[in-house]
Amino acid sequence: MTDHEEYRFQVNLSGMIDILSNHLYSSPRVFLRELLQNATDAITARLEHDPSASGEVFVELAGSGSNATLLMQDNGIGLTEEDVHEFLAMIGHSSKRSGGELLGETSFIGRFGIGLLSCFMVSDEIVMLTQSAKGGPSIEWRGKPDGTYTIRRLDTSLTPGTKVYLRCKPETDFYFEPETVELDLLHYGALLPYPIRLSAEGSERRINPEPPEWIFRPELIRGRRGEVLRFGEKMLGERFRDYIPLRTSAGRTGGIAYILPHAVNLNAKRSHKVYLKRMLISEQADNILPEWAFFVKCLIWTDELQPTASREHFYENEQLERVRGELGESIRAELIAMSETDQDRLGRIIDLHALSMKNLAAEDDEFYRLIHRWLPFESTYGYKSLGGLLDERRTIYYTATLDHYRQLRHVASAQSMLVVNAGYIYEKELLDALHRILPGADIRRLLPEDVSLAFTDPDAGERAASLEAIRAADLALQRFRCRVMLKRFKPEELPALFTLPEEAATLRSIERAGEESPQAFASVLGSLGGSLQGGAYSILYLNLNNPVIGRLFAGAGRLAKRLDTLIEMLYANALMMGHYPMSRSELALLNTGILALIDWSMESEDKED
Amino acid sequence: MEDYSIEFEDLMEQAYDLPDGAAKIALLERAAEIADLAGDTESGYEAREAIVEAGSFGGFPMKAIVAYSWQLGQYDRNPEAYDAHTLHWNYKWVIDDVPSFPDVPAEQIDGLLEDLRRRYREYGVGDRTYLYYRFRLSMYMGKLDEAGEYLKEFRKLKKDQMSDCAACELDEQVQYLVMTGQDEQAVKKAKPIVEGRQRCAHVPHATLPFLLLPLHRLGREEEAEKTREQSYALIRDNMSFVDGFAEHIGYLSVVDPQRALPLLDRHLPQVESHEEPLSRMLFFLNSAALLRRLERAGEAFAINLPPSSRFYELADKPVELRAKLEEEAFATAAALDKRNGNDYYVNYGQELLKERG
Repeated sequence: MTDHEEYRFQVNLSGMIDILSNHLYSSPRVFLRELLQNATDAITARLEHDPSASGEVFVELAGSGSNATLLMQDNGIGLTEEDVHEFLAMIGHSSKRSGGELLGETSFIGRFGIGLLSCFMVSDEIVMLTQSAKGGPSIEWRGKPDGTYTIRRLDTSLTPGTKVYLRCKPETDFYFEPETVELDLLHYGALLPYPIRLSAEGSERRINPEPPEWIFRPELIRGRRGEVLRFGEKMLGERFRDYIPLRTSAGRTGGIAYILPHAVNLNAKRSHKVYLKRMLISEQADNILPEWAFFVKCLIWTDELQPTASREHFYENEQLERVRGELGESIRAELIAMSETDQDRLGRIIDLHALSMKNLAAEDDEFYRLIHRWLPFESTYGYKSLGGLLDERRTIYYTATLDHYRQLRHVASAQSMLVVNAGYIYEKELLDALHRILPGADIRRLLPEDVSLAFTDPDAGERAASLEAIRAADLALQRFRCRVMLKRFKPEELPALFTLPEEAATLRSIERAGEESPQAFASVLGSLGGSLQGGAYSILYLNLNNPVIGRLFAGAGRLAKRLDTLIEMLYANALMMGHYPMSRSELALLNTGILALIDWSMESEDKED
Repeated sequence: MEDYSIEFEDLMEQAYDLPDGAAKIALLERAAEIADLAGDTESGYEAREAIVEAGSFGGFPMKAIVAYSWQLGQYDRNPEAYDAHTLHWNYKWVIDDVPSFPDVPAEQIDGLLEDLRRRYREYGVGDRTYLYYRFRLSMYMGKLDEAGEYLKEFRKLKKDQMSDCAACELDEQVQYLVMTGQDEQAVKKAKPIVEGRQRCAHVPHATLPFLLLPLHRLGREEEAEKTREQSYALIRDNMSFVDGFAEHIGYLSVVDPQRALPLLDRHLPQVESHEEPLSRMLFFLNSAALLRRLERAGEAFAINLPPSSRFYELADKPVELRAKLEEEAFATAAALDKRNGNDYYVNYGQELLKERG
């Protein structure tokens, strides 16, 4: 008990701890990373001082529940008494310095203090014993979260290094459980080049396997498939089947991109594990790869990116942008290589991750050209790859919206037209751009009004006979802005087909909303609709191949009295068959029409009686 | 009835995962249809609420207006059934786009603004948002003096629960300074936006494109170029920033017209069928300016349009393409001016062609 003095912090420490735990770090568990970081930094400094030393970190858990204690010991450079005073001073004074200290780029000593403070998130007392490799007495430091600490010189001399003792604070025993500590040590330290040993529940063992050399040198990765996949499963918790090595041109960032074994959606959370100078920085780095690369989960190491103050993310700066671009290029280049040498593998990846591939292809013609044959599309010939569709050697028609596809699909199939649904995201852009990457491709956009391309006109005699009836029919549907056309088409079971060009569809929706809207909006809708009136006719195709339609138009004139009602019913029926929501006046049509039909059928029964 | 609700939820869920735009709206419209066919008004309302958002921020303002009108009608009939806050908030998005359609007469725009004021008052909100939208809409209608008056008025009042975020308000004030030719003040006012201190889901996206030419005119070329890179990445995939694409083409035609061609190739086919006439007009004007500039330079250049483009036939006849774009743009400008009762947009178009063409 020599030279025992008490000092006070110059900052409000409990306020500072509150800031650390509630605003800076995402979870109290980072205390373990901070301790490990301190140990790593100390070992690095020791190796500079004495290259023959070999580093080791030892962690011991004792007691359980709220009596648990944790010891972390390293054989690094250790701290002199002066160092200890300095790191505490750094905390108090860092705001007066250039400001860089809190932002990550800082000296070993400066970081050390901040890291140590984070332990107050889980412990109400921190005890540190340290012996500097440079000599001097061994030091004991005891700190409390109220801001008091003591320093004393020990009589005995310890071996060089630092030991930190923590005692579990109420409600934080979770962070002292052996499984939690083991898992966190593994994740934080998986790439560290020296052993981390954990002693708990009576046994002691090494936590982190020797980090695989191939992760730093992708050229060594060939022929180690099983090993790479097992490492991925251990580190990322998923069973992968494929991967792509990553590396920037300067070789200061690299890693492995594991291909997710299941489909993911566009908004899926990216959770790559990123190691900065061999220590885990982030398990949710979402900005280190380009947006289109949402089909991989990565283990990445880097020594060139700038961490944020919490050391859990990276600053969005030019360096990160360059790294992101180059890592994306690694993935792209591998996919392109596959398109030449291993098409089955590429096919499997695209099958699972079509959305990601379409996204990239839509932004990058060169990529699109190389992989276009594998991109899948829904078509009237089934769900097929674009290559398969091209091999049909037919005109490929595509609809720009799902709505158009739905309108056209049945009739188009009946005429054996090859129609592709390009209504899902990126698909229209891709098919629009097909002529750029494949000049001369026979591909055309199809609009609802184009479907009649494959229909045949009635012959001259039929036309003459039906002319009057068609005029009457046109007149009957005039108030719905629908024109009637008589054609022959397949399938003959289909009496009528309603088609709705884009403008007419807009007008229809405007009118339906207008019926429901308050006055101020109804008048605005009226004005918007007014501008569309001209070209906004829908078309009702009546199929002369259908026996009922055949009868309806065979004896023109004779039916004139009932033709209006029958045409209106065909119109309402075609709307329902096409799943179009109906306006009030169209629903009224249906009601009166059905009643009229019942009435007529009873009349005819009466006559038969 | 079970069937439709499963399909409805499925469509809503798929839509949720997509960015605002055509594909998302197609799913939501289908969901609304299914709800309508089943007579389920509340689900129809839910789908339309999503259409209003996706339409307002994904480049389909007419779809947003139509869906919102329907929503408002349902709300008036049964106000207890729906969330009043969201409905009142979304009114702002919808009203903001209405003046872009020249077919809507000025009286009807007035009518909407008064309707907004009345509804907000009934909802317990003061006139600040009303005056702020008077400012915005006057500006869009080329009534810059009037806009200046409203700008002073609304800033006197205290913010409330319906006020736009600080970043959005700042953005509108920057636009006003740009429109009134105050380059230096605009760039200065935009500083917090450029530095990322003021931002939201739509700022700086909406602001940056309009700083390119002011920066260039002030001789701050390096900043202009840096802003261009940052800006384009933010907006390139969102069809609600067509006016931003237009500014990028306009800026590049002044500093390096060849670099503007890929933008023309990419965006013209998208914009030619865009619902909103004002943005279409701005895009056509800037594209025409680019083609003029290239013509004058006499260098060789190629335009690459897909066969589905209605300008496909003109892709290798740039002089005719330019004439066609100008013709359509000035027709819209004249229609807007007629409605607005001034000559702002025709003048704007002529000045733009002079400066950028």
